[in-house]
Amino acid sequence: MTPVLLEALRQPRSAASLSTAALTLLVAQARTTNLLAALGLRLEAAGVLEDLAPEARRHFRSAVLAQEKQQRDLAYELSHLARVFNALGEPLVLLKGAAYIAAGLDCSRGRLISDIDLLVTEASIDRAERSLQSAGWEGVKQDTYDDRYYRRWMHEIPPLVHRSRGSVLDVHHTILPPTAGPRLPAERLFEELQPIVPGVQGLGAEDMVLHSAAHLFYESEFPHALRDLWDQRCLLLQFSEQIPDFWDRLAARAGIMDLETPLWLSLRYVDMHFAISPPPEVLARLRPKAAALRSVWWDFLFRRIFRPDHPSTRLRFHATAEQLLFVRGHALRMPPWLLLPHLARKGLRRLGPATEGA
Amino acid sequence: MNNQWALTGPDPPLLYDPGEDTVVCYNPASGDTYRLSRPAATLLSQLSQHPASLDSLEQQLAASAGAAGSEGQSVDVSALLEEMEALGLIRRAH
Amino acid sequence: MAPALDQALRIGPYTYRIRSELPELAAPVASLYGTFPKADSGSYIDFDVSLSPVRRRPGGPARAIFRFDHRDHFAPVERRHAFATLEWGMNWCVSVHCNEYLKLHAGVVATETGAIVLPGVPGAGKSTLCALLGLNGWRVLSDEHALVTPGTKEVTPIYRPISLKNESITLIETLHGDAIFGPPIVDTHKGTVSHLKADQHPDTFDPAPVTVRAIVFPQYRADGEQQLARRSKTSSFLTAAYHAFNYSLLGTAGFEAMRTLIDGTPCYDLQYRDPAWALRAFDYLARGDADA
Repeated sequence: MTPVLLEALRQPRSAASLSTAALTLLVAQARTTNLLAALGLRLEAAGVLEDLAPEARRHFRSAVLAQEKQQRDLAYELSHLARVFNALGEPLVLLKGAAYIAAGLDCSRGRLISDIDLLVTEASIDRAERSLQSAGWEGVKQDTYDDRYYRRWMHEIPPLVHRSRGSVLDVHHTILPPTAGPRLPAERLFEELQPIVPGVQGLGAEDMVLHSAAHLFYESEFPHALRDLWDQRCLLLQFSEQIPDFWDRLAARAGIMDLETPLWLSLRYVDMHFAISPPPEVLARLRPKAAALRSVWWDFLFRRIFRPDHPSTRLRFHATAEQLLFVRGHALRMPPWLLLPHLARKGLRRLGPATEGA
Repeated sequence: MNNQWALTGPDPPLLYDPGEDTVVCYNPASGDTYRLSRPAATLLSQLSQHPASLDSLEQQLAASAGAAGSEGQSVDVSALLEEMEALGLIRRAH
Repeated sequence: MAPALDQALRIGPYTYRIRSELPELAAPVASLYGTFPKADSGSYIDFDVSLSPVRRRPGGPARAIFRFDHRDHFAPVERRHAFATLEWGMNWCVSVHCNEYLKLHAGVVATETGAIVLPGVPGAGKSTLCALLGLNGWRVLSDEHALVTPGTKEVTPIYRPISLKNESITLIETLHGDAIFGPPIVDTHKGTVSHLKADQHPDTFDPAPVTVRAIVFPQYRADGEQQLARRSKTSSFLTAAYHAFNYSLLGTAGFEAMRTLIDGTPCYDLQYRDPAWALRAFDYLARGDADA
C-alpha cells in the first residue's frame, strides 16, 4: 500500500478525503521525514489545508512557522557571511538546503536545514576557516580522531558553530568525499556558479541536481532520504520546465562529473515515487552496467529507505536495509582498510558512558 | 562626512513603550529583543522615519526631552548610536 | 506482547496516546490520570508517545526509552525513572511543537475572575505555588506551559499532574496529608521528583480559554522579606520572553503577542517564604481590587 504521505505529496487533493485516523498518520509520517512544513505548504497551495480537521491543520501551520524562523535566521546569517567572504575576496557559495532557500527554488517551500553548507576551493579552505573563526564561528570541540577523520577522509573541515548566534557551518571543498569513488573534478563546479542574491552564489542548475543526487545515494543520512528524494523531484520538475534542453545538459554534466550512476538511481526512484519521467534516451545514456541485475538489490534497499520510518508504512527488513546502506555509505567514502577501524571506533564510543544520557 | 545614520534593515524595529523609563525593542532582522533607554528609543524612532545626521539627532533629542520637561539631562548621543550600531539596529550611512 | 498501558487522553487542547509495556507505569497513570477525559476512538492523535524497555548494558541498570511517533529522540534512561521520563516527554511534545500559541514557561492558575500567569526560572517556586493554590480551591491550568493565543490575553488550559521536587514534596505533604502523589522518583538530575494530582476543581477539564488578569513573577526566599510589588512592563516583557519556548521562533508575531498579553495586564514580583501568606496574596490578586 502506498504510504499516505506519498499519496498526499503526489496528489495534495487526496488529503481532503482522509479519515481522522489517516490524518494522524499523515502528520506523523510527514514529521518523521522532516516534510511536515513542506507538505503543509503544498496542501495550502492546493486549497485543501483549510478543509482539514483543525487538529491536524494546526500541526502543519506550526511546522510552517518553525520553518519560516529558519528562513529568517538563514537570511541574517548570510548577511554576516557575505561580509566575511567579501573581505576574503572569495565567492560565498551555498550548497543544498541553504542554496535552495536563498534562491527561493520550489523545493525550498517548507524545507528545513540543520546547518549552512558552503563550498570553497581547496586552495582557499584554510584561509576561509581562519576568516570564519575571527568572525565568531568556532570549531566544535571534538576528539582528535574525529578531527582527522573530517579533514583527511571527508570533504569538509569539522563543523563551525557561531559562538553567540549558534549557527552551524559545514565548509566543503568538493561535493563528495574524495574517497567516494567518482573522480569528481571539483574545480569545474566553480565554472557554472550562479548568482543567488548580491554577494551569494550557488551551483549551476545541473550541478545542484547532481550534488543532491550524489548526497542522497552516497551519504548515509537515511532519515532524510524521502525528503532528499522530494528535493530531487522538485529540482528536476522546476529546471526541466525552465531550462531548455535541461535533460540533455544534465546527462552531459553527469558524465563530466562522473556522477551518472547516482543520477540514474535518482531518476529511477523519482519516477517510481513521484511519476516524473525524463526522456527515455536520457535514461538509456546514464544506465549503469548490469543495471537490470543490480536493480533488484538497489530496489530492495531503496524502496525501504524511501518509506517514512513509521510502523504504519515501514516495510519488512527496513532496519536491515538501513544498516546495509549505513555500511555502504561508509564503504563508499572510505577505503576499505579504513572502514573497519572507523566503524569499530564508532561502536566503541557508543558503548562508552560519555555519549549516554544527556 | 561620516556622521549620517540609518536603520540597518528594511523593516524598522518594533517598539513597545508602556510609558516607563525603558522601552522594549524588537529587531526583525536579527530576531533579537532589547530593552532601550528612553533617549535611545527616541533616536531609533527618528531613524525609522528617515536617515539623519548626528547633529540633527542631537537637536531632535533635546527638543523631545524639552517637551517632556526633562531638560538638563545631558545624553551622549554618539555613544548611544554606537551601542545601537553594535546591536545591529543601525548603521553609518555614507 | 500486549502493552500494560494503552490509552488516549484529552489533555488540554491535545490528545495524547500513551503506551507502555512497563507494568509499573499502570498504577501511577491510573491514580494521576484516572479522571482525565478519554478520547473517542478515531480521534485525531496529536502526540503518540510510549515508554519501552531497552536492552540493559552488561552490569548496568534496567533501562527504558521515551518515544514520540515511534521514534527515539533521547537516550534511554534508568527504568526506575520511567514515569518521570514519561511526564517530561509529554511536556517536551508541547514545548517543541504547537506554535499556534505563544508558549511561556509558566504556571497558570485561575479562579472565576480570571487566570494568573506565573513565569518562572526553575527553582523560583512556580510549581509549589501552583500545587498550593490547586489544593486550596484554585484551578490549575498548567504548571509548565502558558498557552497564549496570539492577539488575545487568553490562555488555554492544559492541566497535567504537577511535578514537585525535594522540599516542595515535603511541604505539600505536611500541609495536605491527603494529597495524591505519584511514586517518588529518586536520584533524578533534579533530585527526588514526585507528581501531584492537583485537579481538585470541577472545571479542571473545561477546555475553554481563560482571560489573564495578572502576571506574577514568584520568588521563594527562605529568609527574605515577603512582598507583592508592581513590576515594570518592560522587564516583565523581557523576562517572560526570555523564558518562553517559542517567543523568538514566532518573530514579529511573538513580539506582538507578548505586547498584547502584557499591555494593560498588571505585573507583579512576589517574594514569599510563608505559603499561607502567598495564598493570601493570590486571593488579593483574584479579587476585583487588584487593578486599583
